Amino acid sequence: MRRFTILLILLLSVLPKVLAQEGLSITPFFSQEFFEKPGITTVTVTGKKLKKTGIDIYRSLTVTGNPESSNLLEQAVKRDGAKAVSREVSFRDGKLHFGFYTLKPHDRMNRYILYLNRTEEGKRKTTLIYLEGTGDTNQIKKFLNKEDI
Amino acid sequence: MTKKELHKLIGRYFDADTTIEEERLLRRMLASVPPGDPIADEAKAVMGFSLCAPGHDAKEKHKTAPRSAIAWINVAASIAVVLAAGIFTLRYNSGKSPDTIYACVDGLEITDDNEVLRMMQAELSDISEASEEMNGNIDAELAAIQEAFNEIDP
Repeated sequence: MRRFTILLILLLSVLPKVLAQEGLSITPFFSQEFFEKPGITTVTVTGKKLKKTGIDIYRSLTVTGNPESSNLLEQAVKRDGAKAVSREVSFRDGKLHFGFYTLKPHDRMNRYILYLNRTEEGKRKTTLIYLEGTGDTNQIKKFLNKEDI
Repeated sequence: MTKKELHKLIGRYFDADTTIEEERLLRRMLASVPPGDPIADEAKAVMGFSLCAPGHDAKEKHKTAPRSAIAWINVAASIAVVLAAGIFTLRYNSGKSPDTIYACVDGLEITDDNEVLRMMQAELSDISEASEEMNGNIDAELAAIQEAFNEIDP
């Protein structure tokens, strides 16, 4: 009984976090294996620094000069974007240039995917940002324009 | 033995007229009488039968009841612990996230919080710029269409 209880507590602790990204195609990209690829930059910010922004989790991934990984990321974003509740997207030369996707909330948390593809110094640069929190779309847009975080 | 005979025997017992054999018989009879008969119940109480109704063995009860009670207490306690943990976890996950500031560039970890925040700021700025550009394009496209309409129908 005691073992069962401990196991159940562990499951309950881990499950919400696992489920939060369950079913998202972008999830595999936020892994150590992917971070070790060349041209990958990742940023994770959670907690106090995001206080009063309506965001609890900020996770980003930038791929520079690695077209293969950029293509994979674009495909994953498109797949998740297809299931989004709302989206603002633009395409350039047949490629997804910009995307602001509002995903279906999970566990009372709103979830957003932001995507940008551009060329800098002759290199393709792709940025993916995953946001999670109680903030609505307006708060997220304010957050984007906020200069002092 | 009929109920009437039993009551008669009980009466004799209370009058202290029963023999040892009759008392033994009465004790055996009372052990099989279900509760609800006031006269028999009184005799049982006097003879120390109060807890010994049929199918209600005192020894057995003392042996088994605590065990099942302990089992239920264990189950209830486990459920309480699991519920408490669940509520805590849900609140924790839906409320505050632990403080994390982390960045990694080409496999190299960035430990300076300010640097990480600057990186985040730069990313947001790029996205914001692209968003404004897209909205500007939409405005421009709508303005061009409006202009075309005006040309057709001034």
